[in-house]
Amino acid sequence: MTRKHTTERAMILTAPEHPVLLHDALQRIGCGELWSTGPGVDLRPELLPALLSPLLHGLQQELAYKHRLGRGPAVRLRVGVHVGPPASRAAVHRLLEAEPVRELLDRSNPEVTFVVAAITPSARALLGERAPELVTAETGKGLVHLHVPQPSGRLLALRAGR
Amino acid sequence: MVTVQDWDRLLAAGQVRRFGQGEELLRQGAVGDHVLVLTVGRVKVLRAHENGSQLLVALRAAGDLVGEMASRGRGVRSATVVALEPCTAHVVPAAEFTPLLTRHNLYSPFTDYLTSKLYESVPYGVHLVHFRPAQQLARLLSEVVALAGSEVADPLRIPFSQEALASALGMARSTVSEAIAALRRDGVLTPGPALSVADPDRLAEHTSHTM
Repeated sequence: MTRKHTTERAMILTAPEHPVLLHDALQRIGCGELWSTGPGVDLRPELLPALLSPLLHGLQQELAYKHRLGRGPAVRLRVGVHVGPPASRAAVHRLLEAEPVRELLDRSNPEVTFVVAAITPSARALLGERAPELVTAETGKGLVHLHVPQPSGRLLALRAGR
Repeated sequence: MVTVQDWDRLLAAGQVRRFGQGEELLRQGAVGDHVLVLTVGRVKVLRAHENGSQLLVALRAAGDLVGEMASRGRGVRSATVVALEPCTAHVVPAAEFTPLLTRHNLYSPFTDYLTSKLYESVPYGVHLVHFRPAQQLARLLSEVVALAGSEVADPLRIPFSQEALASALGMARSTVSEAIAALRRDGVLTPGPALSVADPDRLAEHTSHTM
């Protein structure tokens, strides 16, 4: 596959208020050097397939640890994953507000599931066979692929019923 | 994760048992399928390594279940659980526990509880292996302090020897001593010789790298 845009970047974005958390999660999986100050991880697209699943699990484990410490309210994170020109960040943040993404948090146990991920079609195409288990949903502005590293509550019931 | 009523039902189904500091609540390999509902005190969960050493896999405290894996499996304990301080538990036989889950629609929260404990299949220190030694120590100490219940006389005291901390984190004893000395110089731990936290907030800051 040839890439038309050499400026394309893979982006793993979270809400901007948790930069330390992302750094902790990267450190946890042994990739601390990928961290740079900012609301997300911005990396060469070819690194994304190997990084995505470990990082989402790292975030889940990091938030579970913080929850065990019980310092302040539990943080639950929506993570957007996209491949494209850097200018498309805003679109990823809009994606995170979409109903199917929010529903994943609503339907899971708030003491068990701390991370849900929304993966855009361009990122999904790049992940290929290394994509984690995904459910595809319609946001009203296109398709999104959803992944929950540690499902719980009604998400498990839905999965069992499939 | 469950309502107060359901928690009370669980407690009522069990016999109260007290354990002294250092006493085993469960032993790995033993046959038994009762579940322990912890109401007082912290415990450490250890799993025997092939070379005979005992590795920390988790910490649990009041409000946690212990032995819940065997209640669903073959009835053989998968880990040894040791009291870090005087503990109280309600011992619920599996024959009571399982019907209780069914009767009160508790399978979903129980399954969630089990899945949330799956990370314990790996030793505690393995999860932290990529953090710097000082961060690893701060993380273990922070969790120990966070799990201290209101009944604990001195919640900031760490009920682990330096030896046990080194073993739990898979670190050299000298590395742990250096990290402890640094935290003492910083005023995060008390001067010693007993291991005690002076400033839990600053200890929490040491769990991350961006200081």
